[in-house]
Amino acid sequence: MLDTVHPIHQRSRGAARVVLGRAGAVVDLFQQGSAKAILPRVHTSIPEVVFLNTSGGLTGGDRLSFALEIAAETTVMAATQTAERAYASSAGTADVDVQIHVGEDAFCLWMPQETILFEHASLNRKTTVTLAKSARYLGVETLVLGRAAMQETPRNLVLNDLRHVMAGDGTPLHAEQIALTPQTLLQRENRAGLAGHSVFASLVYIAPDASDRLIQVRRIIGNKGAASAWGNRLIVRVEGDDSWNVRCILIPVIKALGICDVPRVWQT
Amino acid sequence: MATITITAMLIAMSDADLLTLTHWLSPVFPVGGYAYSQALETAIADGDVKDSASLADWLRFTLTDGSGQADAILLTSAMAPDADLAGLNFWAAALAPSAERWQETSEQGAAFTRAVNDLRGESATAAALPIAVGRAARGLDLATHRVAALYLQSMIATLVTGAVRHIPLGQAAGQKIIAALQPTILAVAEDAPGKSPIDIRSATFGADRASMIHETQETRIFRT
Repeated sequence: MLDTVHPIHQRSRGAARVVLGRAGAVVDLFQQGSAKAILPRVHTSIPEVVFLNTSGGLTGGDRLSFALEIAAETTVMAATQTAERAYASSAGTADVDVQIHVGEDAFCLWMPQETILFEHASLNRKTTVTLAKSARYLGVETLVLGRAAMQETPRNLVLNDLRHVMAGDGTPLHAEQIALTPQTLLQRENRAGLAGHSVFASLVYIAPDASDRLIQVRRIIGNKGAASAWGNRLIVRVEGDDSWNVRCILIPVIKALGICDVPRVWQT
Repeated sequence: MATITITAMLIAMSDADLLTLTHWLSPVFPVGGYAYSQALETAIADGDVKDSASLADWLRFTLTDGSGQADAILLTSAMAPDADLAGLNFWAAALAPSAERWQETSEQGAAFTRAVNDLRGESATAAALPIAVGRAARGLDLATHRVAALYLQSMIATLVTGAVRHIPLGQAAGQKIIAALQPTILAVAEDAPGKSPIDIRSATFGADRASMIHETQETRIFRT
């Protein structure tokens, strides 16, 4: 009995954690399994962190976690090396956990590249950003249904994508809790829902000047997207059918709200 | 005999509570629901909602994958006797997809709380509408999913009433939509009890976008 071979695939595991001190000095770097973190040499004064999943994609049973901790009064741009692909899962769900802690008066720009969902994908992702006092945050997430160039229109997939930004005391400041199910995809043309689109980008900017930036942001995006702001929060949504076009609409907004730049892996 | 009397009393109590809830959720209760459209005004102006079928599709999706499901979970969560109402209200605010959607639920919640406070001589703190309704309904002898179903039907009825005037559609078409959404309303309401804000899910990208665009719309009849 003991030597019975279990018919369970060895799925990939990965965890990467980066701790940056003041001015972006690396205090701690931990990498395990398929997760890596790269700190490319940059020519600007803003440090960049690039996370990477070397397994080549996510499928049922995979576990991936990225963590980033940023010291007080430090500005950091973080991204992922490539688009993340959620492939068909024969069994189980891929779990992705992203945790970001932003220190007092620090500014974090989290710009993972697109998440591409394939037919029969099953992905649970949770992104939790914790902001210390006076910390600022700019986050951009893009979901893509299949590959447009391949005329793919996935019908059977499950996505649970929780994106939370919390204050240091645990108070939620911003929450997006997206679910896509086969039932949702059946109504892909529903105008209140996906409205026939395959690319869904969401930008959130949390900072004391968020509401003051709304007019400027609306002027930049025109009728290619929509924006709203209240309190310390500004939200921009862009939907489309081509992730490249969506990215090109977002870049000027990111540059205006952030530090006049995007991570090198984003550059066109 | 005793059992019959007690059963009759329970039914009488529950009937009175049902009247109380339907009063709170009726158009005469000063919540001002007619002033808000959950961005339907934009959807109509853009042609996304243009007839009976597209109005029903829009509303059904917002019930199952958007504000309906979110409100049902916030409402049933607020009905728990030990619910942390301030905490729930933070989640309602965090989950709001736009300034107008937050304005809509917080203004109506404040009006609802004022009206119930006046009626019952209470001094409850205002909260987002589903939380305010859930809190007020705590003492009622009604199952949480029934309160949620009545709340959702009231929300849909208000939205349909506004929409049929602006599409325009006949009143009969509007009534048919409200009736046809009954199974969806019941399913969403029955699914809510026991869930918490972390279980809320959304895929209403189009409705969210419409609510943001409504903020800049030049001709506006509705506040949202």
